[in-house]
Amino acid sequence: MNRKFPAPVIDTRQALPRRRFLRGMGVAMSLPFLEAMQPRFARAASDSLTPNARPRRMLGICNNLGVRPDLFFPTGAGRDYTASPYLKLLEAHRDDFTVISGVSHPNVDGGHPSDISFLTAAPHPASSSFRNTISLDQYIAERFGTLTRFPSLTLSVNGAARSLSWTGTGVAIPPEERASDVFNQLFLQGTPEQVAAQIHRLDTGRSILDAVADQSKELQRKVGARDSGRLEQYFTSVRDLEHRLQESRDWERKPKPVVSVAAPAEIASPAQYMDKLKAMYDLAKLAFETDSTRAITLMLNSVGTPVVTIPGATITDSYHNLSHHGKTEEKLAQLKVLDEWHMKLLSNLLGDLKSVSEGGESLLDRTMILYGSNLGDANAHSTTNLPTLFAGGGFHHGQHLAFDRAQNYPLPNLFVSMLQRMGLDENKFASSTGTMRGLEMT
Amino acid sequence: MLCGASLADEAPIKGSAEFFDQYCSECHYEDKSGGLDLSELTFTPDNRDNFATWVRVFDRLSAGEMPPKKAKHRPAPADLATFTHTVSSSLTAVENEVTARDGRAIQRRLNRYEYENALRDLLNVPWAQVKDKLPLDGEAYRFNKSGEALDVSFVQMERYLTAADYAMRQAMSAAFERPDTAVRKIYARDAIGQRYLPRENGTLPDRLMFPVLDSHAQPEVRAGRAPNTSPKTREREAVGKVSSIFSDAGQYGWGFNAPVAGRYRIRLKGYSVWVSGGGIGRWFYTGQGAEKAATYWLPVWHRPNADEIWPGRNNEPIGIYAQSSGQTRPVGVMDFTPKPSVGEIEVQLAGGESIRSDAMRLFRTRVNGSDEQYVNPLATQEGMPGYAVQWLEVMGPLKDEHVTSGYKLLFGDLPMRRLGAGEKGGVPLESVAPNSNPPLGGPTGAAAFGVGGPGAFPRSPISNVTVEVISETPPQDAERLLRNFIQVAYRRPIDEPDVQRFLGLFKREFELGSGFARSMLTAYTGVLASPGFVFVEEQPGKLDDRALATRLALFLWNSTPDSALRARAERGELHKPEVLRTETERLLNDPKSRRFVDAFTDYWLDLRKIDDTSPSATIYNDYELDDPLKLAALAETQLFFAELLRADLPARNIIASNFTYLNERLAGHYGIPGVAGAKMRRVTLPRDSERGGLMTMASVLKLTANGTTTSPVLRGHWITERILGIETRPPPPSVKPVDPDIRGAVTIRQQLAKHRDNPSCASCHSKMDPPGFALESFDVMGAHRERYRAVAENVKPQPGYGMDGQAFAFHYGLPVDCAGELPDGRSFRDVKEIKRLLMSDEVPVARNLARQLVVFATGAPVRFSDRAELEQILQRARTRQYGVRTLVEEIVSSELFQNK
Repeated sequence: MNRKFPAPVIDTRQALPRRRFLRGMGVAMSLPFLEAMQPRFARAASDSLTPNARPRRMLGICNNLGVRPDLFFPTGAGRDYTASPYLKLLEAHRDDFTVISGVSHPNVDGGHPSDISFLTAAPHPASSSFRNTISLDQYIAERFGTLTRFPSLTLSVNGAARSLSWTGTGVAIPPEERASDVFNQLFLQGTPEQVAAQIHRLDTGRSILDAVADQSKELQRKVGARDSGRLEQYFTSVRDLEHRLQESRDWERKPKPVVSVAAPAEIASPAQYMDKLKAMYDLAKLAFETDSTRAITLMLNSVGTPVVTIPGATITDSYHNLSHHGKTEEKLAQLKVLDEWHMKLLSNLLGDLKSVSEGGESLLDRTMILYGSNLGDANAHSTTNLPTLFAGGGFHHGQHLAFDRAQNYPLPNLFVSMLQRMGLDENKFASSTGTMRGLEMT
Repeated sequence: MLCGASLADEAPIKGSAEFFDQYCSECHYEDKSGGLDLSELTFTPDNRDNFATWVRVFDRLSAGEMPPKKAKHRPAPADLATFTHTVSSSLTAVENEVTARDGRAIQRRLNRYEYENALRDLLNVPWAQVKDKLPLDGEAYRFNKSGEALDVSFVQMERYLTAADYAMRQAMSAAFERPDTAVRKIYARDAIGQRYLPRENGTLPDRLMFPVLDSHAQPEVRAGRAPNTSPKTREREAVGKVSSIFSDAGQYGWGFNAPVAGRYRIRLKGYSVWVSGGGIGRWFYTGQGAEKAATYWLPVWHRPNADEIWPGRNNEPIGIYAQSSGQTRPVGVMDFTPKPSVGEIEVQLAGGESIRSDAMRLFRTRVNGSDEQYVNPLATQEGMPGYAVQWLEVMGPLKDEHVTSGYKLLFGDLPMRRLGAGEKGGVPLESVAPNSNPPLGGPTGAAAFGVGGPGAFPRSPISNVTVEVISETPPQDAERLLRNFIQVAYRRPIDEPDVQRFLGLFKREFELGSGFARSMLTAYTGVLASPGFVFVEEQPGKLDDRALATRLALFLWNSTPDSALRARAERGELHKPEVLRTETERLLNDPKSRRFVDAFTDYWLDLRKIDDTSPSATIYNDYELDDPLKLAALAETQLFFAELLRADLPARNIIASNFTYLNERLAGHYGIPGVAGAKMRRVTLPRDSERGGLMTMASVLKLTANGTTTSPVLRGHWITERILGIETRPPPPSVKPVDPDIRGAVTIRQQLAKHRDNPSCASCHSKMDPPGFALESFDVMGAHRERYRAVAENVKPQPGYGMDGQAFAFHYGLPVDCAGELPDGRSFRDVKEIKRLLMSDEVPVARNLARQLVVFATGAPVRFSDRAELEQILQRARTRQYGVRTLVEEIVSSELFQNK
């Protein structure tokens, strides 16, 4: 299969930048993979790029109202920490996760709008001239995306407008909200006529894109350097889409995986937040099991959620208003109910992934799970001291990494560790200063 | 160093080292006061931050703010003037070079509002939903009009392809089926069937409907012992309710679906009623299977007794909504009075949209927990208000001779034909199933007048029909049509490579056997996703007539030019001042200028974020669910600005005005008497009203709060930045956010005491906070308050019930202190006084408005070298008291607008 980068990668190390290479050659993008263009991958990465290598994955989850910090963070640091009330609900998996305190993204402020910076760490997301940067999952998708039918999956609960996934050109990938739709895309086979029609559609799309890319090149010659940059971005996006259509086309010929589980039911009401969350967790596990993708993001848009239905409990206020508890006991109690559900569902997910084995390891060992929030305390809209849980993926867990609560340690360092675990020879991501101190790979 | 300097020059500005050494080094070298380090400040204009620093240096020196008054060494006026002049010349020279080479504005694509309008206008499909298919635009200088913010990605490209295809098929649908104008009358008694008694999942008594005749009850009909309808009483029969739908998302439907997109006239007949209390407390079912039976609790004073009904005691506002695939939008309002009346509205509907109606003032039954406790807030010991609706009549689609103009653009006079089953190719169009509507005058079939709500929407009546366009000479027709299409869609002359390029798309598709229609749409999709359509093409220097026409239309219509404007440009006359003025007037007077008002206020005042927060169900459950209040608040601001524009009212009205736009609900919210009815209308405010101007509008006050608490800092910052045009820098990272205390022990003002006491905080906060403190007199929805609402376990709450039927949980706590002091030392006791103080100098308000308009109109902010031009614009507008329309006109005639 063609090995192409789906989006421009300006690699700052010795490998040739793609654009300069292209201009020199004056040819279109459909070139076979060229040795000169491959950035330096670690040995492990090269292994994982071959079709039979065992995959590694990531799942990034952001609960954009966070959890009650007083009940989340444990006491004591290191391996002997004392579990908090919330962490007690994950006790069965204590050795499979690391809880991290005293971390945040440098200069990511602004309260609620900071959820879109959760996986990008782009600073000042609430400012009026904010430009987001590439998210962790898209960075991974660019490098590994061609190995699976879907380079990535962008999911959400209750949030069509809030996305964790951002392309390198600073544009959000709209999340899928309906688990049933995603399931169909992943597993429902098309008939031969449908497949042929789909291929035709993709080819038509590519021919349209060819024509407009042509025009943009012509126009670019007539404008100054500054304007030329905008047209260049247009051209690049067109080519980017063409690649994706080409890759989709190749995948059309391959049969989709067969699964024995039924499609998830439609959950229409945003109040059924926990049901939707569970459905998304189940879907993520299925997608990883069938190697349909290796990078999944899940935005839990708690801010945009109305009153949550919890069987056996009374919730009286919308999720966002609850989070502005203003220290009232009643609201705090209801938040605890919701937070505990988050912990229980997460615990179930970890258990489910542990129960699937993959060549001597469990699916959990090969999948990095980041569960966190852009808000350290939703009541105050504070974006520091973020509650962070990191599980699986092949690390030494079972510890509390306690960083400085007054001067936070950069969370992007965790992202660098994650990239290295995926097999990439990276030592920087956004505002990182290195890998995460105290976190070791197995 | 000055003109002609290379942009990569790294030396400092001439004379700066000496100047800084002498007058600034004490604070700004080692100490770096205020974060400003002047010790080695070079001039690297390519670096935005560096350029901005030099601008700040210039501004503070010119204003005499720096060096501070008590500094030991201050420059002599002549030396200061020389230095600032040098700085100014350097900055201006750099910018002029950039302007000459690249223009002020970076090339940009249409934003998603403009793209939607452009497609709608081009294809004459005003109902087409295009904007929501495109990714959100970025923001620069607070608007979505600058190239810096308008990125393109593969997502964007994919959406262009989808959106263009969809809009074109809408145009085809509009021409495919043109049923004759028909009248459908649906009687409420037919729509509801016989459902007056409780069902398993509709047992809440206040949600039940009941029969009404001539403002009185019909117990026999209600109990099922008499027929629901009879010919003698048909025209007077009605169905009544005492509540609104429980959720914003659902309304009672009438079973009508618009057969095609078009304009429809809707008439609704009904009246208000008064219902006695003492109705059954609650129904529930016990037993299983055959033994299942209804039992009920004892009568309760606030539950309706639907067997005792009286003529209404007040008017009831009724809202009309259009709904399709789960999305609802309000399309009109009318008032029911105690005497039966017919309300009428005309609306644009998309194919398949259904009509729903609902009361807007009545409460929405929200249960608390599982024992269904709620109380109607409008119920009294004597009964409660309700409404009764008799029939709905829809006439349409109304004749519209332009409805096929989109199709004509695409396919000329070529006919369309439906493809039979099994025929391949063709283009799928959405069509409404023929028997989804009630036959004229007769009863409905399926449950139509049912309860809506999330997850309970009726089956969509839309299905697909596949059509083909018949051409006897495909290659010739294709070229002819394509040439014309590109000519109309592009805003510049076509060139042959473009025609061949897109014709090639047609040929490829046609040779693959996709049929004429699909092949043409493929070519057209290319055109509508191409840079020629999507990008705004401008060359540095003076804009040619075509580029000027595009800029004018994007400014005043938020869309592309119409044929009349294009004709002026083609004839080369648009740049002539009289012609430009005439066209500006024409565009402003056209109803499409409302798009400018809405898009401008959406970004300048953030109105598009009105739903980002909702009132807290704990503290503000009298506002929660009050959608009509929010809609009225939005309309007030938009209508107000539109009026400032239309009547050329002075910009100072932004601070304080003697009029605004209200309806009964909003007037009640503000405490202004004498406004009746649901329609918004212009109202002259009482002489000493605190309302008037933007700051005290409910929309602005809601946007600057978070549904639970207000913040003087956030409100103050918003006002000083957006209205007064004073920029303040973000807080230093070490500042901890304030945790508001809604238990009411401490006021927010007390919590912010540090802002006054700490000098480094005060430097910014003394500018930002004052309007915020004045606005503490207004709660999260903009109502006046003398005391803060608070919630605490040991304090008795205020008596009363919210719109959700739940008891108030709040009590009135600490008093509001809205006094403050402006930076210049003038003090005020309340918002009226601060408005008077701010009105003493209207120029900053006018200047700020002009700045915002310049960004919106040109895509570039007022830069350092543009300031002189801006002052000239203001100067010319001075004779008309800085009228808003005059500002717009002066901007259009300025160099800023007429150059890239």
